[in-house]
Parts: sequence; C-alpha cells; structure tokens
Amino acid sequence: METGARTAPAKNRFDQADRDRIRRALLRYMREHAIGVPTLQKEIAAANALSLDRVPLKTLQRFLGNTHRSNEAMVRFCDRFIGNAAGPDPIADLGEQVAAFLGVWRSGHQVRPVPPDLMGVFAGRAEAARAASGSIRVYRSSAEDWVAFSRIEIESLASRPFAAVRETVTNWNRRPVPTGLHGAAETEPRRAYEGIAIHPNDCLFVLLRNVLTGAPRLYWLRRFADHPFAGHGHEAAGALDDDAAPEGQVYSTARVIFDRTEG
Amino acid sequence: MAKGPGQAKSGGRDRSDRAEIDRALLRAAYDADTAKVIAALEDGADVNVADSVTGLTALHIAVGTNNLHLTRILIEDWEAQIRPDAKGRWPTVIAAEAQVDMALADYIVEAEAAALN
Repeated sequence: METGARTAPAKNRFDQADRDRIRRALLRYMREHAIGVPTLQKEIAAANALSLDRVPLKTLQRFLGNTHRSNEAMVRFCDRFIGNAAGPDPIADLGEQVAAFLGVWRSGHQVRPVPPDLMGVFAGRAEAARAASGSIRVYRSSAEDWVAFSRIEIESLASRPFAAVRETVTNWNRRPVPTGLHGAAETEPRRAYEGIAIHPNDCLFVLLRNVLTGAPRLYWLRRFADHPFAGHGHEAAGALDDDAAPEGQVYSTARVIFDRTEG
Repeated sequence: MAKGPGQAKSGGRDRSDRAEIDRALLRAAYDADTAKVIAALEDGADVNVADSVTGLTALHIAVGTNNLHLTRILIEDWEAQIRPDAKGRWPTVIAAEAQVDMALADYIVEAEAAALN
C-alpha cells in the first residue's frame, strides 16, 4: 500500500465513518511497513510538509487508538498522507463472505440482516468460573453466580448484511471480583476482540478474533426473557493460556447474558 | 518496583528448563500475574523471548492486555526491548489496535520514541 498526498480536493470535515476509515488504513499501513507510531508521525509530517510539532505524537497515538476525538486538522493530515490507498478491509470482506455463505438475503426473506434493535453497546455477564462444571442449568440473571465479564459494541454498517462488532473482556477468568466504573473488573487482564455479527435463524452469530493473539472467538446468542440476548461464547485455548483447563480441552466456553448499557 | 536484569539467575540450566521458564514468563504476562512475571525473570527467563506460536514478547502482551503497571516494570526495571512482533506490529500499533487506556497509550508512544532516538 503506497501513500502520498493526493491530488483530489482535501476534505475539511470528517465524520465518524471517515475517521474509522482513515484509522484502519493507517493501522494497516503500519503493519505492512513494520513501523510504529513515532515513525508514522515523521512520515505524515513529511508528506504534509509540516514540522513534527504540528503532528503531536500523543495526539496521533490517541487518534489511532480511538481513545478520544482528534481535531479536524490532525485527521486532515492523516487523510492527506494515506491518500486514496483504500486497500482491503478484512472485516468487511469477512462479513460479506460469511453472509453470502450462509445465505443472508439483503431483502430479508430468509436470513435477515442484523435487526436495528440489536445494535448498540451491551454489558455482558458470565457464569462465574466456579460454576463452570455445569451444575447450574438455568439462567438466573439476578443470582450471584453471574459476574461482570465484558462490554460489546454492535455497529450497523450502511448497506451491509452484517454488523461490525468490538468486544472488550475485562474479567476473562470470570472471578467474582469487585467491579469498578462501568461494571469493569479492576484486577484482571483485558482482552480486545473485533469481528462481525450476522443473524441466521433469529440467532446472533458473532465471529471475532483476539486482536493481540489472533485467537478466534465465537458467540451464539438469542433473546432471553427481558435480556436482548444470552447464550454461549467460545474461544480457542492458545499457547499463552495456562494449563488449568481440563486435559485435552482445546477451547474455553462461558455462558453469557448481555444487557443494553448507556455507553 | 522489581529487581532488574542484573539480579536474574544465570547459567547452569539446560535448554528445556530455560524454555519452561520462558514459557512461564509469557503465560504469567498474559494472565496479568505480575508476581509470577517477576519470579520468572528472577529465575532467569529471557525478558525478550517471543512465543513460538504468536510471536509475542512479554512486553507486547502487557501492552495488548492494557497492563500499564507490567509494561513499566518490563521497560524500566528489566530493560525489555521495544521492537515489532512477528507480524511487524510495534508496541504502539498493538496499543492502538487493542484501544488501550489513554495513560498506557501515552506512556508507550513516548517509550517507543525514546527507544528509536
């Protein structure tokens, strides 16, 4: 993927979709060229004929990590640098292929696109690890057997038959730990995932990858009582997982319940 | 903070022992178990060893799991190298992809810039 200041008229206002597109293109560029953000800063400044202080390092890092909304000037510099090098979008390609494979009809005849009421931000709870032996057989959403587990964002994509999904697991070990702000466990490692959701047979099928290790993760979810969805999550056991899993077990599984949250 | 690399045990280990200690280091980092990470390092684990499957070092794992405390220990006390993983991702790229908290994002981008200068 080559870049360079483009000849087309530069945009001056960038909506969220523009920002996400530019962010993804820059991350892909850095992976392909094996460079980090400090090197990218120099390349963006050079492409825009700017001094380095016009492209502040922390601001660039925060833009790339989507931790806050960067000013229009910073986004414009990034947009001019990345130019028209759109490149492939692995998540969009994945969503289209899975939807086609499973027969999603854009007109909604058979397998419907993900319904609008399933879009949004949801807080997930999981069955506590001590109950993982299967002794609990019914969902008891108010019971203390359920612990804060993750936050999942399901985002509609214009004219796509699938939804984009991002999940942050804050309590991987499903311990009954005290929770902090926004229901997040405070003492556990955090795991980040990205992928797609489709909606076959009135279920929500979510296919994700761990952005650090690449391990695949799956959810089968459907409405349950007054919860938007509940079901099971599965993830392949990787080389970095400890040996606590039962012998021969190549994946971990957890029962989950998701409820809508404000943000 | 923890002891530095000068306090690590050295020598007298066969290859399988060393591989097991390195493995313990990476698994402890992924589980955010700081005490076990330090124990593995003091026992002679290589702070820069990369997992044979994922290509991740303890530093990549600490950053990618949003663990600022462990990231600082690895860089400041154990002089972990700041370099790309097997996929060509520098720690700042992993931080961005994992959308880590702002404090860690700010720390790692400054640390990576300093390492390159």
